Amino acid sequence: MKDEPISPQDSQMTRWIDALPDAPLPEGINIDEASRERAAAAAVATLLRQHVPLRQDPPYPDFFNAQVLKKIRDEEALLERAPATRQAASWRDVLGQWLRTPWMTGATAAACTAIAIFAINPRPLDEASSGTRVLTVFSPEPNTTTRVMTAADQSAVVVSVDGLSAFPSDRLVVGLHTTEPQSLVASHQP
Amino acid sequence: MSSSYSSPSSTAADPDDPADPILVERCQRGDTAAFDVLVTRHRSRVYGHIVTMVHREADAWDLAQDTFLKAWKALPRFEGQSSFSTWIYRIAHNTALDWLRTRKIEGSAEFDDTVQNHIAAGSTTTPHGESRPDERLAQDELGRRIHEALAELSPEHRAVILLREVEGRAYEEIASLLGCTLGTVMSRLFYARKKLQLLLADVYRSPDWQ
Repeated sequence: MKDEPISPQDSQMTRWIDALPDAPLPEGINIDEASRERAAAAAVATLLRQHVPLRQDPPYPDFFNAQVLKKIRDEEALLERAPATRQAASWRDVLGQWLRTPWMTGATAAACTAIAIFAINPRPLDEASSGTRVLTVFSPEPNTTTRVMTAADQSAVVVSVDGLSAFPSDRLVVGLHTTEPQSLVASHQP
Repeated sequence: MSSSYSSPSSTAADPDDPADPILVERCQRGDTAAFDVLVTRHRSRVYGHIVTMVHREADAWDLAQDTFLKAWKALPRFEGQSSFSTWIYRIAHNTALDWLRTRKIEGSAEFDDTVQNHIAAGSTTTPHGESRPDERLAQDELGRRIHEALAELSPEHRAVILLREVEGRAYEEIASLLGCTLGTVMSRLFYARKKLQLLLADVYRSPDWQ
């Protein structure tokens, strides 16, 4: 919604109507006129207070509470029923955050970084399982150290590469999964 | 003008009636029983605000449910920079506002006259007692007029006028609750007052009204 502008005089008048301590009657305003305005505002305020409840319990308040708690339980049960999806999502989230962290930007490769992870029994990452094993990690950068972490119970394999030289933060880091020739390739694109 | 609003939250160090921050901490550890207490404590304000905003009790019920569900999901990220009361109110307000905007986009009759017929106009705040049927009818009629006038306002203007005139909130509180500037609060208040004065002039100028 676009708000209508208010003149400084109307703004001061609004404050005067509300009897704010730092709000004198605006200059050029007739006191009788201003007093009528204030009386009208007070009358409307009284009408509102008389007919609009400040608080109102919802119908069937106990049922209201019970329904809120039921919805919470239903939501939580739904999340528990889909642990694999949740874990896959959280694994992607974690990797995404990790790739976006400043230290990652500073430490990762500039020139040529292609990491090939040769695995057996590859499956899409979402479906990665304990059957996925990383056999070899190759990086063309000589000063890098690589760690492979496999969390079989969480269906995740994380490859951490340290020691790469910095590249700009707007450089895109991509992970590619391929089933042929049974490898996962990660690289950054200029 | 000082704020007449008082938070329903408990601040007493009574173990049977723990304060909101303690309950919030428990909720953050997954304690739904603690959340049940918070719902009980805040539901009348949440529902009251939403029903005044959307003017449909059934929808207000669902939206108040959504509000608490959203709050539960967001509680792990709640850091207590504002009170739970303010925080839940903000969620309730935004939930109602989103709903109203969606309805507006869908072309539904946001200010449809039939909508207001669902409201038990004036029934909640009308002084109780054995009023005569004709007096009760007049009160109901007055309540209907007021709700109709409120429904003529945009949701944003309606929120500001209710926060100011009914809840007695300070400008700064309103700005914080609605996530807008003080200037915006004053502008909305100014125009909302003008419109309501116009719509209700015959009511408050009537010799029968006092």
